[in-house]
Amino acid sequence: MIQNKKLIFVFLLIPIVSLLTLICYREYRLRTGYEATFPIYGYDPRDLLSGHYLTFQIQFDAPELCSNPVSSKAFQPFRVRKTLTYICLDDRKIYLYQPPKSCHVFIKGFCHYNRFETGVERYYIPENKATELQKQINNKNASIVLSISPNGQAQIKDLLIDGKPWRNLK
Amino acid sequence: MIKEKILNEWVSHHLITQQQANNIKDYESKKPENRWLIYGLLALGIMVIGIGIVSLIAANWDLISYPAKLAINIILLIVSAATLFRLWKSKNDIAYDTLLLFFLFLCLGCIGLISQVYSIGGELYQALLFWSAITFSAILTANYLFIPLIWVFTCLSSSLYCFSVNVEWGYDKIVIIECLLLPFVCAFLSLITKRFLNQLNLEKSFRISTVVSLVCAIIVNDALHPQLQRSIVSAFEDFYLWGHEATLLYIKLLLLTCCFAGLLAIYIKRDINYRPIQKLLLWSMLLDFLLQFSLALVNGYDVIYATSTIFMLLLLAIYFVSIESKKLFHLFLFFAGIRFFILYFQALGGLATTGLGLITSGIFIIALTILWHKNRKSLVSFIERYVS
Repeated sequence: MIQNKKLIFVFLLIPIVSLLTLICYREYRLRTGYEATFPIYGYDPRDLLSGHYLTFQIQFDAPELCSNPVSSKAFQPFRVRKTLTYICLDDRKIYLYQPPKSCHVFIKGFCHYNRFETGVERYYIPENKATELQKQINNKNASIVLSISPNGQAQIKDLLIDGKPWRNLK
Repeated sequence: MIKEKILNEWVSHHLITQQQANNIKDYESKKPENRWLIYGLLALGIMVIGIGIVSLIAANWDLISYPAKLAINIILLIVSAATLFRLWKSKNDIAYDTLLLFFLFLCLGCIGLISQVYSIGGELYQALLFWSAITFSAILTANYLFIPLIWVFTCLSSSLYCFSVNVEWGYDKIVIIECLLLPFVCAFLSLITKRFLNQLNLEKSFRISTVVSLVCAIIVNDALHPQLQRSIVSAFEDFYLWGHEATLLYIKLLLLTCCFAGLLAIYIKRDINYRPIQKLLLWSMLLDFLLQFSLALVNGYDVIYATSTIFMLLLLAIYFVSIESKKLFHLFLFFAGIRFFILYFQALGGLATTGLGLITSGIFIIALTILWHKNRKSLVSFIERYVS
């Protein structure tokens, strides 16, 4: 058992400080990032609601996204076949491995088995609104609002149904 | 606690007087009772509360705004930490550890809440790895083994899973690497904890993990060795670009494991806490482990694998006797017996031959036991002289 009073205090404080830092970081990214809206597609409402979150694919309108095959190299068992990919939102061009230097805003993600993944393909919704929202998405045009940081990382800001926040729907 | 029946027997045989027996009873009655039942029930209650909190969060509780949710969670964490600090001052060990468990669950709940509020994608293992990282300092303050053990198992399981999903290899190949290297990783973590952190409970947790991972590795290798052999020799060759390279990689991994084993063997030799007989047992276990995994490179027969597994289980059983852990000794002896039994069906096939084989083996085991019992002391002193 640790006998030092200061040490105990610090050890118990570290988890709280870490979580506060994470909250502050996420909030900062949400508020200061570049806001962009993208339509979402490729969802099947019958299977979509896994638990209480929505999964979807974002339509970036970038031709040939994740269509290039990964170059086969010699045996690399410890490398996962994910290609670091950047989409420049100015001209919707694709850049591999390195961020585009002349681009104002870009999104960072990975091409994995021909799918572009940015880590924002999931949106949490309340349990009691799940079925109602599912019906709304079936019939309307859905889109997602992303907050994009200067290094290309995206974070979900809101879900829109017919251009309006889903919480405003009746 | 000495039973009254035993004390009365001693008094009746004039080993102790009645007064001495009364003194012993008084002394024993004043000792604190075994707290494990209380601790276990308290921990169960806390875990149930913790799961309830996580479930509440998972239910997408939308009645209050997200800043309020986060604020309540952080306030609860701060209040728990403050209470923990007070309990530490008052030296209330059980209450401290119980609340610490609640605190750790609250941290996990907070991670879940943050991922829900900000719609952070990701898998459970990533959340658990993050939880392991931020709560490492807190678990060092635990008084008993329970909390560090939970932390170690959570950390190792999520690390293994992270390795499994992020490596572009077949599942069976990943199992090979994990089985081969994990016991050594756990053993080295135990040594590092002992040497640099001086945390007894954490060190013990890693030691327990070493034994558990060792046993799992042996069982997995024994059970899956035909598939593993096929995997190494032929399934790897599915990647036609690099043919036998996978087999060469396995050999490199095996050599790396041998290096780890060598380092561990040197440490065991130098450690004054191990008696010579224990050193011999540990070295034998290392050798047997390496041998069994080396067999995957050749077409080893089932009998060889079975013998290696039984030998390892018996070595573990004897080792537990040396550290006076009778329950574990009986457990591993039982496992060895089961494997022995299965071996006969594998090797001999028919019921009649199996029966004859089992009878012969039973007589052999009894003869060995009687010989060991009669010559135990001289054999142990011979081994100790030889090893030291």
